[in-house]
Amino acid sequence: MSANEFLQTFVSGVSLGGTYAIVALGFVIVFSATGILNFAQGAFVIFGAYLTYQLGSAWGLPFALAVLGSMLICGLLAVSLEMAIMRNLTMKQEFAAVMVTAGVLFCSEAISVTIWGIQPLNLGDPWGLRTVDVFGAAVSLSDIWTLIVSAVLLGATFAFLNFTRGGLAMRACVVDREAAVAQGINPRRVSAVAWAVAGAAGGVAGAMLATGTAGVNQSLALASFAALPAMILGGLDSPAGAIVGGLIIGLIQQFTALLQPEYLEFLGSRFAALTPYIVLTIILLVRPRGLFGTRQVQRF
Amino acid sequence: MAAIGPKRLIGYGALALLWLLVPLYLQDATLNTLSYCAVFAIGSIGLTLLTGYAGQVSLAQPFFMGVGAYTAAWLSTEHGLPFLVFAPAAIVLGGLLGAAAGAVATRLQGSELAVITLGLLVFGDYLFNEVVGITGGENGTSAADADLAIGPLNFEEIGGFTRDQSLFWALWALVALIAWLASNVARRRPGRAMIAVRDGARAAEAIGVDVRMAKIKVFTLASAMGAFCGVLYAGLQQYVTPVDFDIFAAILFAAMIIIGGVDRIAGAILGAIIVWGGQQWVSEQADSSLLSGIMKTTDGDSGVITVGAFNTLVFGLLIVLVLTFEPQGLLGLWSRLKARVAGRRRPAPALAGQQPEVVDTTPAEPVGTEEGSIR
Repeated sequence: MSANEFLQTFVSGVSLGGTYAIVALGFVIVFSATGILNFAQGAFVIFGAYLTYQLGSAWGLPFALAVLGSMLICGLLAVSLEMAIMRNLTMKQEFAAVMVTAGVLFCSEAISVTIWGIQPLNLGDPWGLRTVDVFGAAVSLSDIWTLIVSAVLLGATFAFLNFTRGGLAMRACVVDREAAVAQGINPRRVSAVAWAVAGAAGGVAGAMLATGTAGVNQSLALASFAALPAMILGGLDSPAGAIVGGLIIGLIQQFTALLQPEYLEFLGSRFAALTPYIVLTIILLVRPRGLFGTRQVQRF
Repeated sequence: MAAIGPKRLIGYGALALLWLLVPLYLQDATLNTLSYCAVFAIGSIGLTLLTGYAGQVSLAQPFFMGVGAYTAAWLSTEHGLPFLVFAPAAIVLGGLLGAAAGAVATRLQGSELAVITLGLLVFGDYLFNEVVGITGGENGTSAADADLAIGPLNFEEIGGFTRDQSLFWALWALVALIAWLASNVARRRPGRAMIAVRDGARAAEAIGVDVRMAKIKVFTLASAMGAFCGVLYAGLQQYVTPVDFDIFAAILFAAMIIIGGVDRIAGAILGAIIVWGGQQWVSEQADSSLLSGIMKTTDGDSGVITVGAFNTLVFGLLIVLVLTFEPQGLLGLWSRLKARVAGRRRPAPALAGQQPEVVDTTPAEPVGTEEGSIR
């Protein structure tokens, strides 16, 4: 592994990790606000990518507008899902809520394949396959942009959570729902906002995952599942953990993809997809609450 | 075992008669579909114990099914071993893997468990594709010799009947056996322990349930049933490929246990019939006048949706609708309607803390309250 290869892989790993972090942040926000593990996050990722294609490539909007538009639509989809279905389930058994979101994911896969077909589509992003020269290494331009966009979005989410009234309300709801209600916070509005943020995050992450060589395709939902280990790795209820977890998973996955064919070839070409779960299993065996999780330790 | 009332006896008698007569009147293709339903019923009974009774959300049942199927295919076709060797071997292997998964599960709560089991599915996909020596990689491997036979008695050719007729009898007899075993587990001490774990691990521990062991046991049992389901699947299909055990299979299993009624053994069987039968029916009817308007069977076809996408959409929607409007599934709806007709209007039972009425003739006190199951 040369220094150039290392740098290239590092940048693409951080960029992939940043995208995972955005998806994982979507998972974490919904989980902390409602206690639901939201498999439908994968649906927002798929729709985010396809809508960006539809608005940008097919209807000719500028790329930035297309991404914003698809974020908006995904956010609206998420809020309507929350209001129509999830709101009635939150306090019932966890199993029902989790399976409903899985059902929504399956529906969205069927719908997107029906509308846009099974062939990969070109997202129409302005970067394409171009690369830039960084200290002699050819780094893909889409990776750098993904990195910048993720950093901005993650920063914005943190500012929202920490410095605004809405963010305060959300954090209050997470800590103690009843006490929050007593302070005049409307938990329904909080969960609606949480879903909206998650939807928009999924939408932009979908567009980011589909830039560069990948293209818009049906496997994006599966790719977004790699953010699930990232979420648990960081600790289910910790936004900071989601980011660290995302970066760890992204880096490990990219470095595995670089090194494993060279040194551990017998493990086969599909091994990189497996690494997030291997890392997750090891971490959970050592530290069941994740890296940053605040959940109390359970004896069983 | 509780005494069986006359009404129940008549019901079982009717089912037995149906089982005997159906193969004599239906076509082989239909019988073949029903045999697949039987195979999936065994896997979904296991999943019902795990998810419905013990409350452990698992997406990994196709993984264990795949382990069973590949074990059966490899031992029978490569090594020429009989059913009495490869079936127990597959079941033991599935059970051991399940116990390992259960041991990890004891450290995790519901949502994390769902993710780890998703990881098992990914792991299975990797394993079935990459361990080419045993699984044949993407192309799959032949399981032509994985016959359902004990000594000279081959259940695939009973008397002068066709393969489909014989397999229908054999497989549905196995479903009855497994369902009987499972309902015995479910209504006795282990089953009550499972329900207690589901309704609140703390409370369960307080009344003397070893929560760790209970989880490991139910994982072992469910996975062993999944592996057995895979063995029978390999024998029925005679060929095994990795796509048989992908995430779509996980959707099918989820739909099976939810649509029938998630905390009933009979619900798992009913769900398997509805989901697998429905899927096959849609595939067969895709070109008929009823569905050809919306179905696309070839690329140039005028329809709007492919058969696979249509099935995914329908089962996804069914999962959402059932859980939103009738969390007890079709059997829950049925017993509610029955109660209404009988004039014994009771409030609809909540999902948690509900005793499975179909398999339990002497309902015990509910172990936990609904409030206890939330946190």
